[in-house]
Amino acid sequence: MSEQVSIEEKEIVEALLKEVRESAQKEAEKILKEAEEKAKEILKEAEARAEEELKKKIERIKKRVRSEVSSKIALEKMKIRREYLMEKERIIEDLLSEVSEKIRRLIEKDSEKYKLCLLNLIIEATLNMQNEKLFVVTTKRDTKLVEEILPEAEKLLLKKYSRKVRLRLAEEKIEALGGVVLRDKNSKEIYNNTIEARINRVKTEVLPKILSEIAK
Amino acid sequence: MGEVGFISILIEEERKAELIIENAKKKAEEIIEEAKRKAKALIEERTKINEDEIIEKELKYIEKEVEELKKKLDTDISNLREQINKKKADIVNMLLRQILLLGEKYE
Repeated sequence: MSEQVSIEEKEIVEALLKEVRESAQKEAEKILKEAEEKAKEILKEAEARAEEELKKKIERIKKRVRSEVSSKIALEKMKIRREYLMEKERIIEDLLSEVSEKIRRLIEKDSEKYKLCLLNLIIEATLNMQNEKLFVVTTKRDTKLVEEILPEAEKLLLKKYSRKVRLRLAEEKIEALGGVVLRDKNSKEIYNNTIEARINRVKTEVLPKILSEIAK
Repeated sequence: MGEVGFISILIEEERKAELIIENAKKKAEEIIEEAKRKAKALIEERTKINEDEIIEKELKYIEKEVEELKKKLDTDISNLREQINKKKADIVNMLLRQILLLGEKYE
């Protein structure tokens, strides 16, 4: 009986000892596993931090370089843009000089068409003015033509636009390719409808639209 | 086995167990310290830069940017000139109509 108890006691002791050993082993393994995971995390975070720091360092240098040469670049870009605008202006001027040349030829060779043009220019100018008594200033060359047109212009203005206007040829003359300037008695109200003024209007109002349209 | 013998064996085993855990903790600390050391070295290594190379690269990039602007505007001008030449007769007629107020009558 006493020997049997002793065997039981031994087994219990062995079991207890085994449990203590295994539990310690498990705890140690857990500690090491956690440490390894933390180590991995530290390295992962370091990689991210390194990447971020590298980016920041590079950005700082780039920014410094840009700020050091910014005025030089701005000047260079401005020069390029200015050259572009000048070239564009040259193209426009070439185009307009061709237009001027065609107008000059039309004035010289097709007086009927030019007469109609003058009539329309006088009517358009009048419609843009408030005064009912207006003086038409023209070139020395066109004086006779304009004089002939004025009664017709008055009639048309009354008939088509219900504007009863008195148009008179002014004594002074203008130097222009063609067209007219309309003014009231005191020259307080003036409408410039010379060919040059119209070319300028077309240059600033119509041509940009045409150019952006064809650039599409 | 007497009670005293059992207790002393158990105490000895627990001491051994504590030693195992203690060693594991020390090893864990070493692992973490090593990781921190490696992390520091990694950051130092990966953030090393050649400043001159970056400056040179950035200057080249800026130069390219300027060249591209010039190229773009040159192309714009060349396209504009080409388009104007292609449609010159129409454009001139359109302008003549606007300037001379001859409407559709002028062709």
